[in-house]
Amino acid sequence: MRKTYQILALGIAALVVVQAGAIAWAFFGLANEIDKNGLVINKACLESDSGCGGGFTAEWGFAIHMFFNGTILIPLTSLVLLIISFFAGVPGGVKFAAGIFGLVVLQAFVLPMLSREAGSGFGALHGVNALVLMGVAIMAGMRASAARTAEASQPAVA
Amino acid sequence: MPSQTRRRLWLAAAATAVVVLPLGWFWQASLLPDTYDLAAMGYPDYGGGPRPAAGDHTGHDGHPGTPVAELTADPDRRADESFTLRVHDDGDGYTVNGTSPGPVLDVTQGDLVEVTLVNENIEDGTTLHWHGVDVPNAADGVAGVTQDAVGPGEQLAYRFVADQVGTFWYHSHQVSHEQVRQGLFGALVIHPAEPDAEVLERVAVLHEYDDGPTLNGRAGVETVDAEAGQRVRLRVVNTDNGLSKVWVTGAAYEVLAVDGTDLNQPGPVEGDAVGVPAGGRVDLGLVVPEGGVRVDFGGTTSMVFGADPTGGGQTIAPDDFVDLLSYGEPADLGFDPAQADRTFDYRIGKRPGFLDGRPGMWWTVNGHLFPDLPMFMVSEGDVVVFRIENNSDDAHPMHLHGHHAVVLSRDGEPATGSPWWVDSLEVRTGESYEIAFLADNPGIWMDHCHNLPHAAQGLVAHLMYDGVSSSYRIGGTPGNEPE
Repeated sequence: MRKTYQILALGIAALVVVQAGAIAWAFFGLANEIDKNGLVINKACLESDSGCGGGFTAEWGFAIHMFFNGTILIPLTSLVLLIISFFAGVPGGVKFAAGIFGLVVLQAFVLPMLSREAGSGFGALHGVNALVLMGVAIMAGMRASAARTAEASQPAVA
Repeated sequence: MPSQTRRRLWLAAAATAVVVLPLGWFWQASLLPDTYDLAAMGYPDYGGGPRPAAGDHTGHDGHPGTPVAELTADPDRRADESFTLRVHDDGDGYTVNGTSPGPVLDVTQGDLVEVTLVNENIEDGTTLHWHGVDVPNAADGVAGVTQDAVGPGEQLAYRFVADQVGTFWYHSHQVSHEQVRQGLFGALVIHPAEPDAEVLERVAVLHEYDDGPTLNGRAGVETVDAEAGQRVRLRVVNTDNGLSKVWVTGAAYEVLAVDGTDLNQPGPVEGDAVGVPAGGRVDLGLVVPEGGVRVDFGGTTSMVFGADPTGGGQTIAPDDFVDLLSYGEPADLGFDPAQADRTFDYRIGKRPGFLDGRPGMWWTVNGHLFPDLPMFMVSEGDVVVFRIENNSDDAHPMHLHGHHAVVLSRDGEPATGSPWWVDSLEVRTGESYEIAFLADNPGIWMDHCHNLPHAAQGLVAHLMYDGVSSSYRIGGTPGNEPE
């Protein structure tokens, strides 16, 4: 269980890195399409799934960031981590898993909504919160690792 | 197993149950049955007006009344104009009589129009909805509400009187978020019996296909031969899911009509764009100057009359839109919105939850998720006011079937211009609108977001008349799936 906890926690940290890469890829691709091919972005094309007629592969960056990874994989992994934490017996593991779950809800649902409804400035918090989430996930993974090491070094009970 | 370990396992199992069971319960509760009567959906909202007197039913379905299927145009009247539209699935899109957009249907005011829809091979079935035309309910073309989807090899005739001059369009209302986007639509223009022969008329149907944005089915620039001094009426139809920004270079223009209704005493516009909501139409009036005039649609396609005044260059979209709240001059509405019989709230929000078992962030109406939405109940002859409020994170082009509503105010600011009649109203994030209409077309009518994926995500409520009963069901053998 502790190993599973460790894998899931570090997995979430890795998925945050994927998120950062995907969104940067997408926006550079978009900028290149506008610069080189005269792509025009407007509401009509944003609301279609045509990729605004650009057909650029970096569009996958948006799909990964905003759908596959961002709203499915990371929230699901954080939920599974929370459940595993109940069984794993990692010291402070439940608190860390609950904290990760809360940060994911903030990151994937609350901050994007505030960025659209209240002001784009919340987008900056979305970026900052990603780093916090990654840090907490790494710490959780390290705690599980430490617990496993401690367990292995204990003498077997006769 | 030591008792401490056992206790810890029990605690862990209990904590897991606390997390998983509510999720499972919400998931299970959100599952839709395979087939259901839409009139039984959600809860009745009487808008502060009287409840129907007929019977002692407590709900809003299952009571006797005129079936939707009987709310037709005069069956004894012969059609004045007949069309056949054959729709086809080409594998990578849909066509109507071999093209997309389908043919422009030009009809004359007052005529009884009969259109036969032939579904050549669309597996999901299909329908035709007459967007903006206040047709009899049975001709509204909404699968599972006003008809069964027309299966492959089948056909169905729509009959209605073209009683209002203006620019409209037709499109599928079966799996509409896919069928419309992939091409199953076309324009409908209702002309006056004696049109002004001096005016050059053109239709501009805007649509985003897989390959990108188009104007009348083609990318780029469409050039129309026109002499200087030629008067033009340009009928813009936005068949997409988002607002289209339209602007004119080389001449001033007037917004002659919105959603098929002429504006009263429109004034010249220079430097501002006009916004055409998803599903909406705008008629622009202009006079071709020496040197020509160009109309840009969202910066992607354009129509040039005479020469291109930019010499084929690019234009910059204006920052501002014509504000229809104060454009033109006031005129009589034909009814008094201050004497409303019913006032409904249509507050749009968004929250996490399950939609037919799918987890996600979904649209809400008055705080409720689909299908637990209000059924707006009215009686024929009622003056009805809707307060639409958008508290969600995206714009919503709200489309009421079967009626035209007049805008009373936006964010509390009263309308001071020409009566602004709409069937497709752009409600941006944070905005609120008050609109009013006369309930004069009995039936069960959709009142939904015309960003069609939003409708498929549950942003669809209905208006239902007292004394009307449903004739069709969602799902079932025809596979009715209107959104």
